[in-house]
Amino acid sequence: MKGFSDNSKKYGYKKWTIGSVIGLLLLWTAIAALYDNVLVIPSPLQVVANIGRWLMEPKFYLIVGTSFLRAVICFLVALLVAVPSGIWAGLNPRVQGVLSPLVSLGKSVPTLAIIILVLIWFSSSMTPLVVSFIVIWPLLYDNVLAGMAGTDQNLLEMAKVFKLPLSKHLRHIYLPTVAQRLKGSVAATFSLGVKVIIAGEVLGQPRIGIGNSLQIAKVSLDAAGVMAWVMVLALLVAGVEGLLRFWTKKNYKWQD
Amino acid sequence: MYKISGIKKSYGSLPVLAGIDMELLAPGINCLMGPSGCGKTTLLKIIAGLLPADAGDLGGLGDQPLSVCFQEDRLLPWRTVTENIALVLPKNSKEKVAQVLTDAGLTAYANNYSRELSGGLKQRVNLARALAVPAALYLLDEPFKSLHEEGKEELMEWLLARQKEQNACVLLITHDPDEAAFLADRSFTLTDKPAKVDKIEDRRSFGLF
Ligand SMILES: Nc1ncnc2c1ncn2[C@@H]1O[C@H](COP(=O)(O)OP(=O)(O)OP(=O)(O)O)[C@@H](O)[C@H]1O
Ligand SMILES: [Mg+2]
Repeated sequence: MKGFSDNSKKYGYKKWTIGSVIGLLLLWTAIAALYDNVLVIPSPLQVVANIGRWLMEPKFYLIVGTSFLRAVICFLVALLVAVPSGIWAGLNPRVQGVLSPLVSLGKSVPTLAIIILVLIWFSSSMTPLVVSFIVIWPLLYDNVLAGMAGTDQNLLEMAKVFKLPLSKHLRHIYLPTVAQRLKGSVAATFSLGVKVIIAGEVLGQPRIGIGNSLQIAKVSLDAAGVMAWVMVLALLVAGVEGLLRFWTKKNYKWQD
Repeated sequence: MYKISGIKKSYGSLPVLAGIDMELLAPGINCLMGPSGCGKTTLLKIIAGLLPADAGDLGGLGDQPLSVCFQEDRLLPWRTVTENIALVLPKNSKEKVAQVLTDAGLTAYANNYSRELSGGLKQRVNLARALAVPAALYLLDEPFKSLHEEGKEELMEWLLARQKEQNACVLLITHDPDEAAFLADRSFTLTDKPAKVDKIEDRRSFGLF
């Protein structure tokens, strides 16, 4: 985990990323020019122009905000459930046994199948939230459980001889251990959550959401619109990942 | 006085303790010496209740309120020096923590994380945490290792003072004969493993009684 970021700095990772993005944009421009059909492959400029137009409309912010809020709420709820359930399961093998089929189900059933089922049982505005929870909770839970399993036995022995109560075990040993484990995966899990939310919106069609707008763009054969939404999503996720990275760095002074 | 008798311990097929008999002075400072790897830490963990013995009797020693200074520092890396000490004390022990930090010469490092401390300083925090807790039995595993001479003497005086204050029994593992000579009311030397008690020495009494 640590090794990656260290290496990435050493070998000029950033420069190569920027180069790669420029290369991809050029390739895209070239293909768009060759194909020469806005309805199928619009050029990057056309897509950016599309986004520029949206930025003037208040409705754009409502749509993005709604989907974003869904993603954040769902992520927080999944996290708030995953941490206590994972810690409890880590402390008690029986709880782990009870939860393990649920986790396996959540991880193995295709997202699309979950969406379809949930659509039958829940309202269309609840669907994205519920689906995303079903997909994300097992991932976070697994991480918490792995963190629990990796708890420093020496520290637990120390806690035992000093007769620390459960509350201190949780606050000073288990939670920091689990947090350290989670911090490496929250960004990836959050972006997965966004993807699932959008998929849920496309299929569930709640009144407002990026997924709806994507679907509308698709049925009106607006390839530039679809691509513009994709770009907005990519920027959104990158922004959140950057924020999370900044936040974890700030809050882990005790680490190198 | 606590009487330990016949403590045996093997790790799988490796016999480490081959029947340890000791009479620990209580109150008093008991030093435990012996070659590297002979089983000193193993004995300490058995007394601390962290490891079951294969045979033997601790003579009620394990039932005492005890405190341990581990061979490794075992500090919480995500908590500061102050928080690491406060961890083992009851709530609202602010003044007590401050006192302990002063006694251990750690005031300047109160808000540092353990990765920011030198080996010697970590060891100081480790010992401070052990001595912060009131106990009848202190189990100290090489508490003065990686400390330089100047600081070491202060800490030894602190240990002596704490021991007197609490009327406690101290079992202190060390490799340093000078340390034992300075501190020990009684010292035990173990043979190489499988370990037995090889030598017992008491401080010569120059008193009038
Ligand atoms: N958990 C374990 N499993 C197997 N063998 C162990 C374990 N712990 C210790 N040993 C072995 O038992 C022997 C005694 O170990 P112990 O740590 O008690 O020695 P020690 O006297 O404290 O040594 P030192 O002075 O180096 O600290 C060593 O040979 C060690 O390799
Ligand atoms: Mg040892």
